[in-house]
Amino acid sequence: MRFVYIFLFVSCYCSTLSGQKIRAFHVNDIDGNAQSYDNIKGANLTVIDFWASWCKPCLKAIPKLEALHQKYKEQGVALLSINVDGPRSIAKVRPLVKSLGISSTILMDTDKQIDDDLDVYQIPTLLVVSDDNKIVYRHEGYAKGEEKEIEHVLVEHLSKNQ
Amino acid sequence: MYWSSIFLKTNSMRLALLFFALLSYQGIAQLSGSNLLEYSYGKLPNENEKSFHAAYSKPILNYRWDNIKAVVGLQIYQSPYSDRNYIDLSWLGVNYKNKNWDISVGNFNSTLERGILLRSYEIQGALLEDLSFRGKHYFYRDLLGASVGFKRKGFRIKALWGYALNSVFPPTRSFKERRSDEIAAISTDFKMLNQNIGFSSIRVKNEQEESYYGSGNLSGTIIPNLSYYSSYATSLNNDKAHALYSSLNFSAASFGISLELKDYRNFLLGSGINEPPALVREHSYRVLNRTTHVLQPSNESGFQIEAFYSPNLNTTLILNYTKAKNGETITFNYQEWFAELNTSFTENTDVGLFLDYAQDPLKGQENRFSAGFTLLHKLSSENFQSIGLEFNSQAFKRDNQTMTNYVGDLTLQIKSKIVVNMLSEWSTDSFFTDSSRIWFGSTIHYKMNSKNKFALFAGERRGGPACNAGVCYEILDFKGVELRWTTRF
Repeated sequence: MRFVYIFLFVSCYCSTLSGQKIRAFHVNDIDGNAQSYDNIKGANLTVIDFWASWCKPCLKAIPKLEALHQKYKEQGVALLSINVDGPRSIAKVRPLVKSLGISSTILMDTDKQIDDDLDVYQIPTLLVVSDDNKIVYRHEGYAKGEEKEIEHVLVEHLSKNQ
Repeated sequence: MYWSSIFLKTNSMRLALLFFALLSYQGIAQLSGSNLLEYSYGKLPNENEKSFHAAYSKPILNYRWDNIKAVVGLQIYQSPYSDRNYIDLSWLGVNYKNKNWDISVGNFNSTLERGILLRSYEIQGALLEDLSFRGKHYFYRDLLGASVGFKRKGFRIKALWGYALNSVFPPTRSFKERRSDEIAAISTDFKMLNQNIGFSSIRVKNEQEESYYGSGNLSGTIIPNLSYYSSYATSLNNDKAHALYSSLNFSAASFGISLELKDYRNFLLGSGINEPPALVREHSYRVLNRTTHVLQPSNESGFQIEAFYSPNLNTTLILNYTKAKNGETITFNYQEWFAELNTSFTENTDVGLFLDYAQDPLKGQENRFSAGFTLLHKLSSENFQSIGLEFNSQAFKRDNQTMTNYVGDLTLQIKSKIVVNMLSEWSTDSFFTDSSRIWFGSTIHYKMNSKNKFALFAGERRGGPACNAGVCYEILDFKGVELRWTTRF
């Protein structure tokens, strides 16, 4: 058993040093078009927001993230909204999104393939990913006003890139 | 555990483990993991048992190397009752994924035809405790087997084989009981003239039956603001089983509307491996969530219409009407009207209001009226301190007697870091009490950092039906203390 412990210790230590990297994914967007992460990610940063139509905090966060996207998209920040609605509510996602007038890319993760891949354990979860695909920030839940904290993270990492 | 001892005792495997660890050091491969640990001391309030200590743990380890991801996970439950205790290797699998291929061996998830033929799910963070078995286990349904998927330029094909998990049975039960349904399926779809055409077929084999089902679906966009999805599935065994589901969506400016139709007959596959769209709104308000109409795939038809209006990003009006019919000779007609408004009253204050009226003869609920509000006020912009208040009320008639349910919820929040929640429920429902009954419980959530979260519950929790992420299940009452620690590394 001690080999297992050595393996876990060495691996965890090394993983902490390098930071979690994401596997590039390929899914359909809300209009049924195939999308590849490499083609839609931001030049500098990518904000990935996992949400569902039945999740109240998610719907409260969406307008705030939309405002952040509008403010920073010229600086190479992309916003990917990944919807995880299941069969029960997926039919409502398109009219909801269209009525809200969201400009970010909406990706459909009905099978929760991306959700599993990025170890998402709670909705909403927000990830900020660097241009070399490293997750530099992970935030679970949403409380009113927290968009300022997210903006602070964006500004901090954008200044590092300059 | 026999295989794992052999695995660890060979020198080559030891070297392989160290090799994988060194890959992590080089940044080529990555190891990540999580654990959900829950300790509880308490009992079911209505049972003649004494309070007892119990602990549940779910450690998961993920290993990534380029396009490969491997996962291993355990479930552990310990209590004073030895027949409920277990250590179970619940997740073990490898997945390879690139632009065209998606190959999984071991535990994996798959959903076919919007759940009509097959539905995998995971209710994040939910532990299931069944009254028959007791003992907690994670609430999910996956497949143990293998799947291969290929996609290229508007064409997709997937083949899978495996044993589906029946989530009601805890890990103390045998493999045969928990995964009684052997499934083999193939699914394909392709895009043509902006429309998607798909076909699927599934074989379900268990001790009682060997059944075959086939389905076809058509979806796409008619004009930019009008889209649709339609699916028809039928039994290939000539036993008069079918499922028809259609949806039509329209949006214009700030307005959106969704219309869905269903007709399900004898369409409960195996021990319940499928879950066709229910076409019943899943409410977040407690009094409504508890009384959600549960779909009967063996005999149900109906429709749901839902409209959205968002004049700005902070205001949404939702109107919903649902109708469902169950039964052949004796019919039960379920109907529900629902309206909800969420808006920002001022820059610092959000308000939500809802009204609901339903007739549910299957549950014996006549003229069910529900109403309530939510209020969220930001106290300080520096630390994002806020106070939230929610109130729900409900009244209905059963056997000419009026039953009432009330819920009051007060939440104090400092960012997402500290959340203090106090929840009280009061009911005169004769299913739960002779006169009236009150439940009171409080939860403190503390997020230490992005990797460690704690939640402490104390008090009494009301059980009953609950619906979460599209899946309905039964929660047991609980009286006592629960401490949950969620960590990731």
